Amino acid sequence: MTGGLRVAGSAMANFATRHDVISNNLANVSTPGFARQETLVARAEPLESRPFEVPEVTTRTAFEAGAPILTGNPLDLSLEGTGFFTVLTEDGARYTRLASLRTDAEGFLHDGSGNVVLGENGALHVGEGQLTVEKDGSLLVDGSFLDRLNITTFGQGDDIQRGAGGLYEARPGRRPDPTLVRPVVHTGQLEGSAVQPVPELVKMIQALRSYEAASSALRATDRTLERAVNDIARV
Amino acid sequence: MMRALSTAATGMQAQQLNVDTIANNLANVNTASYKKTRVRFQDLMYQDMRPAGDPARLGPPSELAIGHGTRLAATERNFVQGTTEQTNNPLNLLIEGDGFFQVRRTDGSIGYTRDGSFYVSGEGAVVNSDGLYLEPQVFLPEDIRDLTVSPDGALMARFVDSNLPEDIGQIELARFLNPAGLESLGRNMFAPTAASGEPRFGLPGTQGFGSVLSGFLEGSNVEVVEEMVSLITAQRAYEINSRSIQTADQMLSAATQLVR
Repeated sequence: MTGGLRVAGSAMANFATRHDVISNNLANVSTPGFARQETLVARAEPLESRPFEVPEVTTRTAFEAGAPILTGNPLDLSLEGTGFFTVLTEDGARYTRLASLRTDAEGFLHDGSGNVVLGENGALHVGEGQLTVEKDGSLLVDGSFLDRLNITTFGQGDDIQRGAGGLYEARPGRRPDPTLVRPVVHTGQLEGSAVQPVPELVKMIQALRSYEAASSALRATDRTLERAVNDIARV
Repeated sequence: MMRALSTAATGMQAQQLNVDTIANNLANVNTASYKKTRVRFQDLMYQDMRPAGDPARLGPPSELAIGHGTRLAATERNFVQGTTEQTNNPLNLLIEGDGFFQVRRTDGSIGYTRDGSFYVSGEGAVVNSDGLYLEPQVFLPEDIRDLTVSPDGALMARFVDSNLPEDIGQIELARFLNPAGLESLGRNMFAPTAASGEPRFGLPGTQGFGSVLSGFLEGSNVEVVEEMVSLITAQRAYEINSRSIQTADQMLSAATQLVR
């Protein structure tokens, strides 16, 4: 009897979750290197066998690069093409689309958030030299070759999962695919947020109206049940 | 309650601090040697409501990871060279390139500054506009004329009774491996921190140090147009986040009306 109530109720919960994800996208409209999240609604079972089965919302990261922000700083790097810079955090290797290379007090390169930036031979010691970065990721200190930035490529988008602070990590059991084409490194710019305000606002309106529609459906079901319970039995 | 409310609130709060920073940059558009600051946003943690690849579940991998908004990771100072302003005062000094002047603060510690407007105090010492002594200290003898400062930081002057310029002092600069890690003390001064590293001293124009230009001052490196664009972007981002709160509110109101 209450199947309809349950379905309409969980539809409302799903649209609220959608709005949560849209809100997070919009809150990060100025976060450099932020990759937009999408929501998908999937039904696991065919409709006829279980009419009151509730579809579930899933999220997916859309790996589209945002428009570059020109900073003019030659040590702000962005990548053209799929791939990630590799940094070392306290929890191990993490991947990021963003690198504002800075030297720390000991002369090692870090990414601007305190994580050590990795080259192909480990941490990068620059010291007091003048650092330049080439398009293929080679690092030159005072004109002489130091190392190449460790750029990690993955075969599929779902090989990695999001962490906070714009860092990604490999999912358990997934490995980078080093055979893929390396992205080109651009200097003097950072990758902007990939969130486009207008489409997100459109999706927000859709979520709101769908939510309201589901709430109307719930109310209609409620009225039907009211009839059934209170009126039909009356003689 | 709805997660979207607090998520959008983090966005509004972060944009507000962004506007504060832009306002401070704009307020210092005429401050000598001011270095503009920029805030850096980061996304907050993601809550894995349903991790992908959960072995208890069948079917395609489907995750539900919901973010909690944004936060300000840091404000970062940009040490790009500011504009050059001619003053013709020989004790107005500009550093072309890396380096900081050192001044002795009233508590005895050293402050590092790129503001090179120096004066002669009543006792003949070279001091900055707050009356703090230049380090290492330079005293000017009374009977001198034609004071000049050479690009390598040497103060030269002729004594009244002589025609030969003589060396009367030397300016020393300090530099840091990571100037972005310096702490701002206000009054155009910086102090070293663990992030900036210890200062390294040297003469102007030598290994990595900028040279000194006498008769000029370094202006602010704030670009008004750039700040205005950032201001507009921040304002709109703020509005969008407030719209997100309104929408969440409408949803909650629709839910409340269900109960008769």
